[in-house]
Amino acid sequence: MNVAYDGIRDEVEGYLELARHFEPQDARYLFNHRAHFVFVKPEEEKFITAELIRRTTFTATEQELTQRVEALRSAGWNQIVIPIVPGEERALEDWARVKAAFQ
Amino acid sequence: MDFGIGIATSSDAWKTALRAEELGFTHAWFYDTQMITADCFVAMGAAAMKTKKIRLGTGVLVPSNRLAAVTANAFATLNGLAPGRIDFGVGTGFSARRAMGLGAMKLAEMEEYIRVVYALLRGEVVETEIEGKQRKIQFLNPDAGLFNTTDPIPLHISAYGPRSQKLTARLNAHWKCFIQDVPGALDTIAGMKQSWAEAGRPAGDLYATAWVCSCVRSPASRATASARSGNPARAPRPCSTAPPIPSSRAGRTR
Repeated sequence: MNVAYDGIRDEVEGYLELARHFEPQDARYLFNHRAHFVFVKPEEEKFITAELIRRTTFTATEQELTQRVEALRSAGWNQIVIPIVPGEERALEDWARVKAAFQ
Repeated sequence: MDFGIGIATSSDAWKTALRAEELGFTHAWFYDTQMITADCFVAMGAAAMKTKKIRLGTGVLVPSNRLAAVTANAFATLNGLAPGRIDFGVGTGFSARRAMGLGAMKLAEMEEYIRVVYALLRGEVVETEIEGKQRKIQFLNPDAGLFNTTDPIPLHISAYGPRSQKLTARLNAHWKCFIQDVPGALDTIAGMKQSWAEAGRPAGDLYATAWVCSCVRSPASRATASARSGNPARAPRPCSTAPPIPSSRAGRTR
């Protein structure tokens, strides 16, 4: 999955530069994958800009998300999966409201 | 349209699965990332006991983590706890293997693993390599009521590239992948549909699942959105302040 660089080059290149200095040098993956899909490391926060969010996530109002899900359904997608981040379980209720439009 | 959730597997992940079931979600997918989250089969076992309707799947299991025989046994055991509600999600491994400094496993090895798992679930004697030697293995007591190999366990393959999508089609499996935006999702499924058709599969038989990171914003947050490109979004739910992307600027993922 490639991310179009337009508008987020600073975020992507900045993160790559940071990652080149992860420790330990012989196992940079240890720090790289700490928090992977569980929480945001403080070192990474500055890269999570509004533009990055716009380009890489479904972040929108219920009405907008309903339209996007309908576009997916019309194209042949059968299921949408929402990863739930620990501590952010209220996203279940949020997405249940979007889901209601498809029942 | 089915709605599922991905769960960062924890000992008490059943609580999230149960709440999702109460809200009408159809699937709960548990990460299989042994260095990052808790064990998926233990957590799915608890969820199987606490829920009644929601489907429970690995999202996704990485074959190199355990012997195919152990995986087949785990699925059959789960299938005994939640008959007909279990899904086998599988992939060549990103986070689970990267977190140990490894790259993705070979597609052919994943295919062989899938073959062995399903042969065992069908009750067959299957020959497979264990510790460098071909050996015949079989579930020896399938009729003793110890687990459930009767109810089907659908296969869902995480597939991003043409080769893995062709494998998905050849195995007549369900298909899943991450998306980022609608234009990219449309491109992605078009590629999968092509692989599906080339394998001679009827178009209507393809079951496609899109994973997407997301945040539902309230209308109020849209009006007061302050996050601008180039500024970090520091709110507890940072995406809640991000304005929508204009469709004409939406980046493509492929």
